[in-house]
Parts: sequence; structure tokens; C-alpha cells
Amino acid sequence: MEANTMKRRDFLRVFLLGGILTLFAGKVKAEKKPQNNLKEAMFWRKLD
Amino acid sequence: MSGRVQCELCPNECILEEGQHSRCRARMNKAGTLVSLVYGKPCAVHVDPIEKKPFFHFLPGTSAFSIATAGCVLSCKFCQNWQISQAKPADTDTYDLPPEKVVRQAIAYKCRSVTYTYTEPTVFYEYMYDTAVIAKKQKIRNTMHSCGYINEKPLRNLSKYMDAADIDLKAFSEDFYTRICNGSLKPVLNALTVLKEEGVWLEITNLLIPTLNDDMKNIREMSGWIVKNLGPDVPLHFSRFHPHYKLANLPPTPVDTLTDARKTAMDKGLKFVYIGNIRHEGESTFCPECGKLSIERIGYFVKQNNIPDGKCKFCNTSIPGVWS
Repeated sequence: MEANTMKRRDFLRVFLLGGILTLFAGKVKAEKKPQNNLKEAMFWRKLD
Repeated sequence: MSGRVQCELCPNECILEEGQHSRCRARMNKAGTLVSLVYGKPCAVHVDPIEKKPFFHFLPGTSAFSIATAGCVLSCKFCQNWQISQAKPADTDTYDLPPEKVVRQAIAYKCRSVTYTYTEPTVFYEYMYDTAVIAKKQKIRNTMHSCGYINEKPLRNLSKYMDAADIDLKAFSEDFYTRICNGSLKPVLNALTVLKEEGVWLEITNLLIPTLNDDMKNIREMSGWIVKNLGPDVPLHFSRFHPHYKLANLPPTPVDTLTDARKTAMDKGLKFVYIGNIRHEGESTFCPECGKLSIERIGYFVKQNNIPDGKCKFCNTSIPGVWS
């Protein structure tokens, strides 16, 4: 029983530690993939 | 929900399902919107003498910053630039050259004009138009070499910014346009009259191909149409054909055919008729009044220019063109 309690404490410790670290960590800057923005054509019409 | 679209830029007027590419290969239906696949992505960028376009009555001796993207509205069997005109844009190596950069580079290379050429500028209409707007603001002229296969509304819109156009009048025959180019003559004739009405400086090029469009009767009719509808001052360039692409089996145009064509056109009243792709006095401009040499050319090189301020220096006759 005592071993299980220890495991739960350890888990909680790690969990809380992780949560605190996340609060202070900077945002990860992920580069957006360049969008393939295609220019809308002039002189056309929708049919449907 | 995406659906079909119809392009209204050229007489092909492609109707496209979603994901489908246009016949010119430069546009596609993307989720119900027609988009350009070539905007800002030229596959050919060069600085050329303006005479190469060919423009003989427009800023002689100056350089033209010349660009083209892949694609074409026609599929001529004799196309000299077929490697890019008949290619898909994705299959060509391209530059990243947005409109403002085109104009900056034109200025950096001391070009007096930007020329939209090599393939068919109609297919990169939006790119050409946006570049032309910027160029005009920077006092850089805009010129194009086109097959003239473009609808009237976009052409009139473009004409507000286009200073000069060289149009290929490939033959005065619907049959030729159908069989050899997969197109039609009538829209091209309409484009010529529109450009004239809009005040765009106009020159015409005809590639003379043995057995296909070298009949003098046809050339006489074509010349007569030009005189009647566009005026006798429109320069006409007869260009020598060299075996190429799908017409590699034909011989080069005989020199006699070129000189006959030139004489035929001048007999019909055209004042400025040139012979291209060959060394000949027909490369030079002669004053229609006194007959003296106005501009001597050797290939694309201007050897002497006797038209200061647009007038013959020998007899003071005004020579039609844009000289400054």
C-alpha cells in the first residue's frame, strides 16, 4: 500500500512540475509552410 | 460547394470543372474560383533590343526588359518557342519575380520598356496588367508581342496601359488558323482594330511559311485589309521561317518569296514593310516621301538613325512611330 502511495505522490509531483514548467515556457515558433496563394484570375464567371 | 467556371479572357472561353486546367495551361478552377497559375512566375527573363520584338518604329536603339510565362492560347505547329509555350507551368523553371520587381529590374538594366513576349502574354494577363500599371507610374513603357487571340473587353482594359503591340497576323485565312494553329482568324482581326482604336502603337508580324501561307494572292488580300482597316502607316514585318518543331520537314523561306511579299504589300499601299530573320535592305527604314535611308539596321543593331524628333532629316516628313 505504501509503495502505491509513493507512486501516486511521485506522479502528482511530476504532473504539477510539468504544469508549472509549461506556464513559464515560451511559445514554440513553428514556421508556417508558405501558402501557395494563387492569384484570382480576371475575366471569368461562375457557371454553377 | 464548388462548381464550374468559364474563362472569358480569350476566344477559347474554356469551361472548367473543379480542378481542371484551361487549354492555355496557365489557369485552373480551384474550388470554384478561376486562378492564375503563373502570376509572378516567369520562365523567361531577358534584356533584348526593342528591334527583336520586332518594333522598328518604337524607341529605336533602346532595350526592352522582356518576360514570359509558360502557356499559350494557340498551338501553332511552327512555334519558335514551343518548349515553353506548349509546356505546363509546373514543368518549367521559373523565377520569383513579382510585378514591382520586374519594373525595378527594368530600371536597373536601363530599359525604356517592359515587353511581354516569347510565349503569349494573354495567358499571364493578370501579371502583365499589374506590372504594366506599376511600369507606367515609373514612366517605363509597356509593349507586348501577342498572337492577338484575346477577347475585346480584356484587350480594351489592357490598352489603357499598353503603349505598343506587335501582333502576329499568321495568315489571312481561317483555314490556316484552324489547321495549323488550332484557332481562328476573326478574333485576331478584331484585336487589331481594337488596338488601333485604343491608340496603341501597332506593328504586325507575318511568318512566311513555304507552301502554307506564302501565296501572293493571300498576301495581297491581307495587305489590302491592313491598309483599309488600320491604315497604310502600320509597319508590317515579313519574317523568314526556319524548319522547326512540327514543321521541320519544310524548307526555309526562299529570299525571293520574302522580297516578293514585301513588294506585294508595298504595291497595295503599305509604306513600311520589312523583312526579318535575314540580312537584307528590307531591315532598314526608308522615308516614304524622299526615299532616303531613315534608319539603317543590321539585325537588331541600329547603325544610323536619321529621324531626329520623328521627322526625316532630309525632307522633314513626319515618320509615323513613337520616337521618344
